[in-house]
Amino acid sequence: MKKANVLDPPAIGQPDAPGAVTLLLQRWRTGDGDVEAELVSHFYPDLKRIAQVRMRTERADHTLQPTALVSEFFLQLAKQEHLTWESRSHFLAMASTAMRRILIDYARAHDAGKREGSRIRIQLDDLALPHRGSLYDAAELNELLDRLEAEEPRMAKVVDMRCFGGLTHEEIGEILGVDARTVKRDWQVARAWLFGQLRKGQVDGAG
Amino acid sequence: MAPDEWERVKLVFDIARRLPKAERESAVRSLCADAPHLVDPILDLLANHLSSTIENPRLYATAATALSCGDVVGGRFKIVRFIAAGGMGEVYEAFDLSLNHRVALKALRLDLLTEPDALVRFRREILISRDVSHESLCRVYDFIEHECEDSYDTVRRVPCLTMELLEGESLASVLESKRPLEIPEALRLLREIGGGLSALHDRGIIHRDLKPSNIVLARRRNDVVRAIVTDFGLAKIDEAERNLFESHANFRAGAPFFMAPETLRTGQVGFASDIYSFGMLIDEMVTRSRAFPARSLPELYYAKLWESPIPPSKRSSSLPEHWERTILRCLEPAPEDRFERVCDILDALEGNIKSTARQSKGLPSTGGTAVALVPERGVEPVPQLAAIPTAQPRASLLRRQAPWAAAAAAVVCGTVVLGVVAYPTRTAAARDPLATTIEVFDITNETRRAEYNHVCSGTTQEVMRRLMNVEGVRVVPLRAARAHAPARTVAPFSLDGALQADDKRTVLSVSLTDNKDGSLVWSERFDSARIGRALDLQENIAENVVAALQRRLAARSSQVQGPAERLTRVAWRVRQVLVGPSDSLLGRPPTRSNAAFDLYTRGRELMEEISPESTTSAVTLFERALQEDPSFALASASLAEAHIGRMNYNAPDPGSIEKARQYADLAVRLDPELAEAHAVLASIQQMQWDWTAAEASYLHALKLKPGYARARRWYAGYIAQNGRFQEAFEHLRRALADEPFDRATPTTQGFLLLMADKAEEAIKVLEETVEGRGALGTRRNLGQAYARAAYLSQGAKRKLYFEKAFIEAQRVAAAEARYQSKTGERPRPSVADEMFAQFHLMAGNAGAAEPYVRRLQRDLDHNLLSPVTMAWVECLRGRNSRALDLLESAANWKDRRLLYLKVSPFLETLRGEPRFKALVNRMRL
Repeated sequence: MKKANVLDPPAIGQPDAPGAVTLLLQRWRTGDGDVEAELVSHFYPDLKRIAQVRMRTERADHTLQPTALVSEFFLQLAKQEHLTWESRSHFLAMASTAMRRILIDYARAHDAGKREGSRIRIQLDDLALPHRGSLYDAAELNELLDRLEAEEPRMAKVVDMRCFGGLTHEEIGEILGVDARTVKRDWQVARAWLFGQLRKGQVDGAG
Repeated sequence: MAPDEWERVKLVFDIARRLPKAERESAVRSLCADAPHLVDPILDLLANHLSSTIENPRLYATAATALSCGDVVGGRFKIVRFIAAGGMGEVYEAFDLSLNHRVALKALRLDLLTEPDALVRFRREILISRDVSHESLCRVYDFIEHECEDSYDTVRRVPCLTMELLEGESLASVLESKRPLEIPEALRLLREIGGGLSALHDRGIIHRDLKPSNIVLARRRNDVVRAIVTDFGLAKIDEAERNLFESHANFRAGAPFFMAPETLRTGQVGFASDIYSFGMLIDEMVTRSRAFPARSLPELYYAKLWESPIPPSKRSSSLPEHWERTILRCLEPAPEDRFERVCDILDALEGNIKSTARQSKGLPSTGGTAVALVPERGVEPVPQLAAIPTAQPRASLLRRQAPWAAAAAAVVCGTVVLGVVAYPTRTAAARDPLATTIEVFDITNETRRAEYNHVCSGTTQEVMRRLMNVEGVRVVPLRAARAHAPARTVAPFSLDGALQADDKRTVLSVSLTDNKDGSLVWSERFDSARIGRALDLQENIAENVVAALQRRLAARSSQVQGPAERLTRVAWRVRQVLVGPSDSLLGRPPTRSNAAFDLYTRGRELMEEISPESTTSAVTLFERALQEDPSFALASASLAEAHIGRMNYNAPDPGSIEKARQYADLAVRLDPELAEAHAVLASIQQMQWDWTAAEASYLHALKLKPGYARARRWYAGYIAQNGRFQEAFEHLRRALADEPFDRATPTTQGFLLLMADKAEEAIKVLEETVEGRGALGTRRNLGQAYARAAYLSQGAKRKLYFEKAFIEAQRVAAAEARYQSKTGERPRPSVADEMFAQFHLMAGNAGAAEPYVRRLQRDLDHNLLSPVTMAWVECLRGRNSRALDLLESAANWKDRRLLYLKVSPFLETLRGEPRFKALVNRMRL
């Protein structure tokens, strides 16, 4: 296969000529792990812009719904880059981790010196808890996910993809090369772990 | 914990979580006998596992949603976004993976369906409402039971339904900022809402929860905003009202403000309770406050059950009296005292006398025909009759009418004398043209029975055709653009109609409105028997419209109407009865045979479908119409048109054009004054390269009927092929003025701009046209315009245009793929192949074009593709002599696509070739 410089502008005039992101995704799918950072850096600025615009214009309650942001970004990008529906889940998988970073960075910058009520919260419907709902403090959540990543990277990926990318178990399984049942199990364990840590945090904090 | 230990943890966790709580610990201990340090972490995880909703009763209340983004419901609908939560469940935006479009998905909360049969009822009603289609109803697509296990790990079934995703504001939020609405605006919305509600009622569906927050002012295709009724068949608690009456948990589902008293009292719902809610809705729209002021739920109950509403006029100063009566009648405490049907309410709001008459109890209904008060055809109604307030008691109406009945009788006796003064004959009309414009809406088929479609469209078309014959009357068809009109009135008068049906009867109501003040100029209802006599029906409508226009215009010019003038009018009607309609100013009816006419309108209806099958069936119908009445010129002209239409689909067949010509000639012979006949003859002559004759026929057709937009559009195409573009665009402008909402005109304009090599202008026009509903042909032209613009530019612009061209090609390819998955066969020839081949070649990428070119060649070999299309491609490949071969072979049987030979920019590289010049000469272009 002819090796294209992936950061070239997309070839014009060929409907099936893949855009840069598509090419990166293809390489990533074929197991080229190095491409990951490149891929994220490629769409990071746009993703960030979208998150900021959304925050500024819409979220008076300082709540972000990451899946909606990522999904919206995909639709925008798909138009420019000739991304196919098939590349969607791969794209979302990549974007979900980036999205988490962006939201956390954004929340940090925003929250510095802010009162509790005006701090940014992230709405994760998948992580709704009976006694606390689905709103998470960005920094707290990030810290937990970083710890989980250090413990068991695949579970952290599953949480990212599901909560930030809005992917299904089937899609996540396809990306990670495991079956959907495994993903579901990872998810349930990860969720129980997160809940346990959150609860512990509360107890610790109280004590 | 080490990674392999995590795998172990997961495994044990997964086994244990399925066990009853009491057994979990021992299971974990025995499974981890060799690794006791894992026991506590696993038990800890299990303790934090969300096991079931029963154990976590608060989960429902606090978990934001039942579904999560990314969930795939029913293997098909992928949740994209959470939109809102209501009492009945949550609404999401979802993406239909199999049909590639966005839908709204509502997940219902089972715990709120308290009645045991609620789910059954719900499902049944969804199934029914899925079949109800009305432009003011939110479309319901599917009912799915979503099994969701993963979040709460017990299997739960969530009933979901998918429906049209409406983007717009709810009426509730509009009213919040802008209330009361002006009467005309309210009426417009109520007509739309009422239409939707009627459609439900006709199918036996009760809305149950009609209120402003269930009406969405949505932007649908064409950017038209329309009031759309949603959430029918459900009973739902509105969030706002829930908050308002939060302390009273024990209230019934539904919005109490808008609910009928019998519903509040016993939970009983019926059509009458919807009528009540509709009345509340009207009240809400046009008054400043509510009919039942209440600060708490019990207070509201009390007011609704035991008190009378505060009359709307007390809460709004400028409300017309008949609106007040209408609202109050809707709000009658006893269901049987309310209006029976929604259309009666609308009639009453519009000041239509006929529904009023039925209003007083005890008056026998006459099955949809005009009731006693409405004079039979031929007897002049009192001109201002329509303006009499709605709730006028019957007795006083009779008193008003009496002197006029007497006058009419007197006139009948004096017919011979009065015949002389009867003024509106054709010549009289010519002397004194009405000089006005009527916009004619398609009569809507609200019966949802497809077998009535042709009655509606046929009646619309024919009434319009005949009105066009009246000198001075300009007719603007608002075909398929009904919804534009309220916002964009283009003419002083509107003619509108609807066909409605229930088990017993079918009623066609038609009305003429004065757009100046929204008043009703004329309206009438026709029962099944009269609808069956299609020709009389059209005659009647057309005549009455003209007569009503004359009255209204005369009344405007002289505010005071003398008795002499009235007498004249009555005389005219009497004369019509005696002389018959044949000599009326409307011109002759197209046929005398109702059967032939019926076949004809069925054929016209099929022609609208624009598919090979429908066109072939149309041919048969027109043939039968012509057998029924051999002198039916219009049927003959249509038959010619259908034969031409067939040539679009079939392999080139010289027989078709011969037949078309034969019937066009026949049509002209049968009725030399029939513009339709001359227009179709012209287009055939054009295809036969008989330029002089074609031009003469076009001009003759347009002389006979200057407002005939379609003929003008065809004519524009004809003159453009000779390079007379300026003239052509002039005609298109005029055609657009005559038929402002005709999509075909801008499509033609775009194509001709492309042929004039004004690609960028073509893009502008075609982009707009393609916006709402892009037919493949339009998309192809748009793609070609982009490609041409790209071809002629440099740098970034070139890149951008090519990109856009390919996007259009991909869209067409996607549409063709949908067609293929639907029918199982590849469309041949493929428009997408043609586009891809051309665009790749224009972009200088011959390699990429190759597979498409091969496919096109194959289609050409099978005689499925026009050689002219292939010639365009060969030109781009630089194979000029091959292109010329193809064009010459096309010329042998006068391929239609050769008509633009002389001007097409896609053949520009051939211009210098002697063979090309010879071909142009051969065609005498």
